Amino acid sequence: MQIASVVYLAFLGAVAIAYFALPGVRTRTLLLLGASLAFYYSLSPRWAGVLLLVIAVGYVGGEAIELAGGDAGSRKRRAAVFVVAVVAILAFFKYAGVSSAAVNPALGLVGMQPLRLALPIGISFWTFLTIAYLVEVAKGAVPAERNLPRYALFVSFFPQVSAGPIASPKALLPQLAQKHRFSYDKMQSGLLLVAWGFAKKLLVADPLGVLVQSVYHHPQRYTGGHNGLILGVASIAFAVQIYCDFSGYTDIVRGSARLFGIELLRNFDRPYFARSVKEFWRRWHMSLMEWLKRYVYIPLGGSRVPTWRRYANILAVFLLSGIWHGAGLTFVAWGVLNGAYQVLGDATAPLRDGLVRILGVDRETTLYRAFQTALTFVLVTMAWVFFRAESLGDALYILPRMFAPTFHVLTDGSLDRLGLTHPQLVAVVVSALCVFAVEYVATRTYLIPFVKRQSLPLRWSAYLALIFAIVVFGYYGPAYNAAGFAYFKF
Amino acid sequence: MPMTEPRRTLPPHTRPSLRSPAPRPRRVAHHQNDERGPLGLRFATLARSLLFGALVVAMLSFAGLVVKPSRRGDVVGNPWQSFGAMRKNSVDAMFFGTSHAFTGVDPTAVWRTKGIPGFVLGGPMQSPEVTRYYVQEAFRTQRPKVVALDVVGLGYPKDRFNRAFHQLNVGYMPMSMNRLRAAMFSTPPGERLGVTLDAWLYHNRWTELSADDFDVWHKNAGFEYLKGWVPRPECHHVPTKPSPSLTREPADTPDPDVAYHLPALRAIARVCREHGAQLLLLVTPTGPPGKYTYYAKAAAKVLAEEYPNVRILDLSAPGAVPRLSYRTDFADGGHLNADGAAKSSAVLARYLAATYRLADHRGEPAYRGWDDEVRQHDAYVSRLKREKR
Repeated sequence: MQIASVVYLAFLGAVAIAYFALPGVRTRTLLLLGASLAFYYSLSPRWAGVLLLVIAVGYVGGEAIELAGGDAGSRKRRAAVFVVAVVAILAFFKYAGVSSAAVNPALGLVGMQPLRLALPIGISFWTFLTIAYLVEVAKGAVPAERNLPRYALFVSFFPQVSAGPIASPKALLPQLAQKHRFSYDKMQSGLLLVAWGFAKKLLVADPLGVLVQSVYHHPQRYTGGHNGLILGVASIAFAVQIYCDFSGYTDIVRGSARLFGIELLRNFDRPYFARSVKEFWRRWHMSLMEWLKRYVYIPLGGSRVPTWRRYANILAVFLLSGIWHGAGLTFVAWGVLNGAYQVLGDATAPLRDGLVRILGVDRETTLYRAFQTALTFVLVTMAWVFFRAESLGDALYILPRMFAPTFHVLTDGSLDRLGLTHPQLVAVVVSALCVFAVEYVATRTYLIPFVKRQSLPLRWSAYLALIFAIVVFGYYGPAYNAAGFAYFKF
Repeated sequence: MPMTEPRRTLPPHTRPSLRSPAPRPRRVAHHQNDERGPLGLRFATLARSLLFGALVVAMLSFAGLVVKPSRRGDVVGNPWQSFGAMRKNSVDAMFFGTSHAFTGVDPTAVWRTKGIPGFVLGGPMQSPEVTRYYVQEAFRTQRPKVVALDVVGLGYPKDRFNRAFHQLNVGYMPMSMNRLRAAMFSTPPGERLGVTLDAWLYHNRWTELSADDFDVWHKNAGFEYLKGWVPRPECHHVPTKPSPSLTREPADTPDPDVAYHLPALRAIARVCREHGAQLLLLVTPTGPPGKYTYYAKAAAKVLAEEYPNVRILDLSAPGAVPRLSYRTDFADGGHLNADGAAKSSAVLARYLAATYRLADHRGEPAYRGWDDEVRQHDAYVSRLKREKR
């Protein structure tokens, strides 16, 4: 069951109706757990057992830590054992696919069956969630959850099981224990969020995915002097695609959870409006960055260490982030490059400050802010090249050519030959501009209250226009093999 | 570096956001005494929600009508538009089934021969599982005395599925419970939404829409005088050696393909009986002769006990249609062309009149329009043949 599908909407509606029809927390928990496991089974039937295994390890781990009582050392040791077990499961399933490709020829030589390991959907998310839970229980920040169905729901809650956000145990577990009353306002804002997520996914991310795929699959077709700028256009398209894909998914997930009265963490805070790479990473995939900060960066010493150690910690965190995203060298390069941006940014800050002073530049002018935002976008987009390229060689081919001043490709119809027709291209550009315009407005005002303040005809017209645009201009349907959300594979 | 605390101008829970729930303590006191319905909602809120839902449905239905490709009565796939133009309860014989029905049965030839008003409601590669809903839907507006079912679909293997044809067969039915049933029960799960919601299936056409597409009330109108028949002008030389199917006798247990379609066949027979119509299993001429005869015999044998009045008319047997030419009367290996359909339909008309004693309505005031439609039909067929030459 794809999240951005009518089947999912029907499933969500049925579960929401049943949820509020049930009287108590216990029955509602069982309903949501059943729905979550069924949802996960529909996504990844072969690997549902791995999810159950991680749930079991986390639950037993929490109980074992609690049994250690107030002995902090014992709690830590027990937590470490179970965290290692969870990491081992993650490492085995996430990276064994790569290693199986390496060992299968050898297995074949000795007449053994080849390994067929695939990635259980969302494993990186629910293992990180479990680790967070174990560490928080060990610290005493949250009590171990005794109620097994509730704990299992915490790990497998269907809106977030496939790609997060990685919830905070402190925030989510108490919400699962509460009885939520039906709220028309929450229902309304939840549905609006779901619709907005659909719009980002179907109007922007999926069609752009077609364009990006057509270029990135054979980047060597584009040469610097001839039409290299197409590589740049595709790279910008990917930057927009991955944002609309992942943030669209997050909107659907958060909107879905809100229907049940549950608030999940925000994952994005208009990252492409950031004025530095450091700020970008505070606004992008916030739940993962918070997790890495809390459970990797701070334990490594955080900022309270000598400068060189701080830089090493930053690089380590981003290297881990890269490896978390995938086993390929491209992900490692992407992580290291993002870390390097920040280290270099920090190290050269005094130099840049001096230069700005000498030149007498006012840092608060709109022009300067726009320059900073644009520069950040370029740097981030260059890093995305590694993330999206099919090999390190492809990425290194694309990078120097993507800035080639072959501007004629923008007007000679070259862009219409990248998998999208001209009207589709226009629609996707207009949709993307609308998305960013709305997000820009959201920096200035509370958007949902703003919408609710409008007159009924205006509001309804806006809602209907949104639904109409999704249904008619959306990129989906039988002729199109709906792309999964990019982040499901992590 | 991302790991330091972010600088915030507002606490996180109050930051402006599209996503953050609104900080809104704006409950109006007088609402509290209002009458409330399910889930504690005020009835006004509930009514507003329902109205909004209705508006969404209306908007998407209209969008569906716009983006759905136009199909008039002279092309395969949309006999329902012409069928809807028929006067209520004016048809005595109806013909259902596959392409063999809509190419091989010419209702105008039936009318011209015996004055029997008829209509063909067929679809390309239409399985009996869909045809049953066609029959049910047809009975909502017509009361035919005879329902003739082309038997070719009874031989379709269970896994035979053509998405494009199925989308025509179900997707062009009028929106009704029968269409929803056909979408639900006769359609593979992954295709159900497409044949139910036109906007969903055809939305990709928005890039190629023309002004005609927006004329939703007339875009499919035209060629009603063909009465569901889709004439083919081509000529194709077909084999004349009879098929083994002609003489093959059905076993006591029907083979798996026929057995798979039996529930649908029984449903069709039941619907006919409920409406007082006679079911006729029709085999249109084929080359080689008798290619599908076996299916008619197998079906009749199964139905014999429960529905003893079900008859077979095998027009594919050698000599069943006088002067039928295997050189000039077929459009391809299986389908009759316009000339072949005229000859075959004349025999069919005589059979219907003789066997079921269907009245001759020629000259009746209520059927005066048919004479004009016959002229339009003839002009159309002549033009078609001329263009082919």
